[in-house]
Amino acid sequence: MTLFSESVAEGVRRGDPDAVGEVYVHLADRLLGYLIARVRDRATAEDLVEATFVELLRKGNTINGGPAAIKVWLFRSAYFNALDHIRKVKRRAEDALDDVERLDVEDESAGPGELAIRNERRRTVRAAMAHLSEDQRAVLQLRYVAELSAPEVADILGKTEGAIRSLQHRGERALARLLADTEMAAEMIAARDRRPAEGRDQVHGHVADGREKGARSTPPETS
Amino acid sequence: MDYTDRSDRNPALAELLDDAFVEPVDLDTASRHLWVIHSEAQRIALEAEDEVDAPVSLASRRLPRAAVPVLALVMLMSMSGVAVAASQGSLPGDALYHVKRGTERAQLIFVRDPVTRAELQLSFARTRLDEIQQIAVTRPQHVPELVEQIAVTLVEVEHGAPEVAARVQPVSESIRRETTESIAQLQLPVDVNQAVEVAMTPTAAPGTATATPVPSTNTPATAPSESKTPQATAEPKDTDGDGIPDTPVVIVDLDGDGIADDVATAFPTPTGTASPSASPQPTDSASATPTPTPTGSASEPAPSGSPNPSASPGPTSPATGQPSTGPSATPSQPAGPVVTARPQPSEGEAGDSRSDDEDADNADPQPTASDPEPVPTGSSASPTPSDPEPQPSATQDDPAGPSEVIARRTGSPGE
Repeated sequence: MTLFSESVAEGVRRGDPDAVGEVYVHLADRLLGYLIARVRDRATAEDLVEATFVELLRKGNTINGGPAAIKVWLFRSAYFNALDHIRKVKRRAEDALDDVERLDVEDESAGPGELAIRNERRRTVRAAMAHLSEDQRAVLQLRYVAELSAPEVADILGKTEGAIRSLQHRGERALARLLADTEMAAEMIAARDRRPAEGRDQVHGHVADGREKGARSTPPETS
Repeated sequence: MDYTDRSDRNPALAELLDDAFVEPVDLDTASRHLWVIHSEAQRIALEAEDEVDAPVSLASRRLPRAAVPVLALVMLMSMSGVAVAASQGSLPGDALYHVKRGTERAQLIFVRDPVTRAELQLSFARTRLDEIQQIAVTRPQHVPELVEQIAVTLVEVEHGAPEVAARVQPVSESIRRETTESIAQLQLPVDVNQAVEVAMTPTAAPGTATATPVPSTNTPATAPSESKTPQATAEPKDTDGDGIPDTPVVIVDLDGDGIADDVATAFPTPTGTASPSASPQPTDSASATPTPTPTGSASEPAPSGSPNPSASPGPTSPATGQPSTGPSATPSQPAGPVVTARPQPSEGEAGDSRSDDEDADNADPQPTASDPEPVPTGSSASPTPSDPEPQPSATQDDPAGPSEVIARRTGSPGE
C-alpha cells in the first residue's frame, strides 16, 4: 500500500475535503485499527476516527510536509484523542477485554471452526498486549499497527529514538514471553532471527495452519 | 509502507498485531465519516463567510427555522444509511451528491485486488458519464469537473500496473470513446483526450508550450500594428464564452467560479494556445488586472502589470517568450509570455476599456502586451515598471526599437 500523493497532501493543507477524503481512503483502516487497539471499543474508535479526520480538515493548514508528515500528524492526533478519551472514561483495561467479542467481524470466507480459531488467537494477542507496560504498548501500537517509523514514534511520544527502540525491543520480548508455549511465540522468535524479512503482505489474510493450532493451545494468563 | 523502515519490525509480530487490531472500516461508517468531513468543510466555509461580513448580515445568515428540522432529518437519515441509498441517484450540485461520491470512495477502501479496483474505478467513471448526460443541459457548469474526473480515472487506470491496464483496457477505451461522443453530441466544448493528456502529465505543459509561440506571435504582431484589433486574434475576445474556438475559452464560459480555475489548469495545456504554462495564472491575472486597469491610476496598473509578466515568463518564457517576441520586438521577451497569458481573461476588458479612456487603452494593449501599459501611464508610474522591464524606458525614447513599437502601439490607442 503506497501513501497518497503529494498533490493530495497539498489539498489537505488547503483544507480541501476531497483531499481529506482521499487520505481517509488510504489510512482509515489502519487508523481505526490503531484506535481500536488504544480504546478497545469499536464504536468509540470509529467516533475517534471521525473526530481525527475532521481535525485534519480543520488544522491541515498547520502541517508542514508531505504525505508522511500528514500520516504522522494523523496518528499523533489520534493518539491524543484516544488519550483524552481514556482519561475521560477511566476504563480499566481488564474490563475492556470483554469487548473483544464486539470487535470481531464476521468473515464470510471463513468457516465457523476457522473463525473460532481466529477469534481465539486475536483474543490471546490482545490480552497479551494488555499486560505490557503502558509505554511498551504505546510504542508497539504505533510501530506495528500504525506502521510508523521509530523516529516518527519518537516524535509523537516525545521520547528519543533510542528510547523508542529499546521500548519496542522490550515490548516484543515481553509479548513473546506472554505468548510463550504458543507457536505464535516460536514464530516470532524465528522471525526475529530472520530479520530483515521479506515483505510481509496484506493484513487481513489468514495465518498459516501451524499457528492456528498454536493459538488453540493455552493462552497466556489472562485477567 | 514504502517510506518506513520495515526491517526493524518483527514480521510475525506485525502480522499478529495486524490481525488482532486492524479492521476494515465498513461501508456505512466510511460513508458517514466522509459525509461529515464534507459537511464540516461547508461549515468552515460558512464560518469564514460569516467572519468576513458578520456585521452586516449576522441575522440574515442564520438558518431559517424551517431548515432546522430538515437538517436534523438529513442527519438522522445519514446515521441509518438511508442517505447513502438516497444519494445514489443524486447529481452534481445536489445536496446528497457528496454522500454518493463518499460512498464510492468508501467502496474503494475494501478492494485490494488491483484489477477489481480498476474495474470499480471505471464503473464510477461510467457513472460520471451518465451524470454528464443528465446534467449537460441543466447544470453545464459541472461538466468540466466531471470530465476531468473521468480523465483522471482513465489515466490512473491506464497508467497503473500494465497487467491491470491490459485487463480493463476494453472498458476504459469504451468509456473514453463514449465520453468523447456524448460530449460531441451535447456540443460541449470539452475534449476528453486533451483532459486525459493534461491529467497525465504535469510535464506536458512545457512540451506544449513549444506549440504556444504560434498563437502568441500572432497576438503581439497584430497588437503592435493595431491596438484595437486584439479581436483579430480571435481567442482573446471570447470572454463571453460563445464563440470560443479553444478550450481555454471553455474554461471561461463554464467558470462560475473556482471551477473555472481547475478546468483551466486541466484543459488549456493540451490546446497549445498561449495559455498552457500560464493557465493557472490567467485566472489570477484576469481578476487582478481588470480591476486596477479601469481605475486608470498610473501606479496601480504598473504593479499589477509587472507581477504578471514576471510570473508568466518563469514557466513560459524559455519556450514561448522569445519566439513570440522575435517578430514584434526583441527586448520585450518578458512581454511575450505576458501576452500569451493575458489574452483570454483580459480580452473582454481590453475591448471595453479601449473605447473608454486613455488609461483603459493603456490597459487594453496589455492583453497584447502588458509592458506597454506601464509606459503610457509611465509618465507617472514609470519608475517602478522601467526597472524590471526595458519597455518603459523605451517609452522614454530609450534604445530599444521594439519597445518603441510597443510604446507607439500603446500610445496610439490612447490618443
